[in-house]
Amino acid sequence: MKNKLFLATRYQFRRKRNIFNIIFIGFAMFISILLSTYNTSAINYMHNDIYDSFYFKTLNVWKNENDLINEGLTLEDVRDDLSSLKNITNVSSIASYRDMLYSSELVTDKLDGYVEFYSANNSTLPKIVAGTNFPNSNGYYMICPEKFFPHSNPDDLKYVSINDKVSNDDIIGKKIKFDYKSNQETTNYNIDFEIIGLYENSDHIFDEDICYVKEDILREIVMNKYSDDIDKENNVSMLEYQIGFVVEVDDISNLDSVKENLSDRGYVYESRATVSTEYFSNISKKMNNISTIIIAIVFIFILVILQKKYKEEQQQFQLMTFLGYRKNDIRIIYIMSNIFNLIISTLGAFIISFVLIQMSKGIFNYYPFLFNKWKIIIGYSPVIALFIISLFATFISSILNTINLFKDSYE
Amino acid sequence: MVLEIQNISKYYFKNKRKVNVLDNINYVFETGKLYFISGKSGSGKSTLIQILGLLIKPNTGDILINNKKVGKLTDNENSIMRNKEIGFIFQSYYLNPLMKAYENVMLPMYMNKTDTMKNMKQKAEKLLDVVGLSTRINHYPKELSGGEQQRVAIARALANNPNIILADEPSGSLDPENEEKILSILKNLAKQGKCVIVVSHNQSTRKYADKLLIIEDNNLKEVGNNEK
Repeated sequence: MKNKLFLATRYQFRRKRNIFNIIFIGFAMFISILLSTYNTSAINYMHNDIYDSFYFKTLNVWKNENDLINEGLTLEDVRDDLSSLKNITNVSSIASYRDMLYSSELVTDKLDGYVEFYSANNSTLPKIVAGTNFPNSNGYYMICPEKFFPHSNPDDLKYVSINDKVSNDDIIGKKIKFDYKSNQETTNYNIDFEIIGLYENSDHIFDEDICYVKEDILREIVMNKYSDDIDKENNVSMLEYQIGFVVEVDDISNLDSVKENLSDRGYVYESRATVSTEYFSNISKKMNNISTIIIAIVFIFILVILQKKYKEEQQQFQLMTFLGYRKNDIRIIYIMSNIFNLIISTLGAFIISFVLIQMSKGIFNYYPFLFNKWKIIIGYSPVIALFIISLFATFISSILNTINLFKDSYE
Repeated sequence: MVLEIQNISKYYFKNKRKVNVLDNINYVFETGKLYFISGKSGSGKSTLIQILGLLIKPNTGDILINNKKVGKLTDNENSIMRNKEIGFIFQSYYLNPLMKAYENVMLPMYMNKTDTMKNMKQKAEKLLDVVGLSTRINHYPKELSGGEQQRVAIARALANNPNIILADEPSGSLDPENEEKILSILKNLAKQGKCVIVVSHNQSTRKYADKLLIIEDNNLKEVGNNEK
């Protein structure tokens, strides 16, 4: 077997056609990997950046003011009703759901120091990657993004480097002072927030400047801000009467059923952000079709090159018969040489496509703002698909040719 | 005696008609002699070479190599016999273009599972030296002239030190100078004790032969003897 393996492999390195095969299959593999990479990256983008981003699964919800009066409902009744609905994970007064504050301690030459605050509880927090989530004790705690860019205009962030983030290793436990005024600017306030945790935000869009705090803390800030417009009798901000609630749905796939449920119960709602996934789906389908065509071309290509190789080698097989090689030895040597060729071709092709992919990645990284939030996830499935299809083609060709191997007699 | 054919007949069927190629031929080929077999095109020279080389079986009769009947041998046993006892030389050399000269000579040796790669290489180099190609050991076939390629093929035929050399038109593609060289080598091999059987149209080969044979009317006849 050692000698057969030697004969089947040793001289294949000298076949110049193999270089052509490597380049052809390598190019096909590279294109397939690119298509697959686009697909996996687009799917990742849809899932992580859109489906999992709270923007796309939160709704602003109102109850008609007349209904409130007619049904004799308080705001707390509405909150309880919304909280009881299926698939809703968080209900916050819209006034105490979000706010933006400024801290001079977070200002850098690239960042203006503005932080968006959103209310959250431990069940609605994104994945924590450092520090902890909210403790039970009351306190001014905030949980900020792993890549934290406190800046009011997200468009500006396209032009900053990752090194400009303020979330360094020592940020956990750090207290940051925020200053704000009441709406009528009659009172100045400040508040010291302690950063107790960082959440994972490499995938999600729009969250570079968002920190999460407990709802009652956010409510306190809003109350201070609207201290000039308080309904003293009910001790609520006037804002809360006018706006309503923000509800978070557990999964974007449940959004439609929640909307239906809200309509049935007499609520008016508005999506906070919408996205059409049709564009991605259409492109993805086209890319899958192209990948299938490429794989079919590679399949035919391998059948053709193996047929050519067989014709080139047929005389050598007959010679081996004259030299005393047994038919089965020749068959084994032939099949082993084909498989070996396939392995070096696909290995070479993989190396070529890997280098090309790395070069492409380098270009993506060089222009990060172009692909902001697009995480490049290389789809290696075509490598496996091409190898399996190539192996299949090799076996078909080898078996058909070994059947014919000794049909033609020596002339 | 090294190779004997006994009552060999070979026929084919073409359009349901029986076509006789060889009809009940008998002959004894001995070691130390060069046999020249001629005959018209289609007379059955190639068929005889294939039968002598154990590549096809005759319809009747038997072949004895070193007094051993080979008619009943299996395909695998035939292959082993061919590997050990018979060396082939062809008009078109049939060298593997991906292999260097010494590697082509090693090709029959790979079936010998006990020999080491180093030994095989040394043997191949010696054989190339015998045919005057010691400076061409690492050359590929395309880097060699026709005469040199045929000498590599002769070295390959001698790889396992067989007793029988079957040469089918060995000088058919060569110029007179190279033809002379090749036939001299074959003549020397016969002198060294090999049984060399040359099939050729080329009448200039006759002068090197010890025995002259012809295939005529489906029979093998001895028509001359240059032995002194």
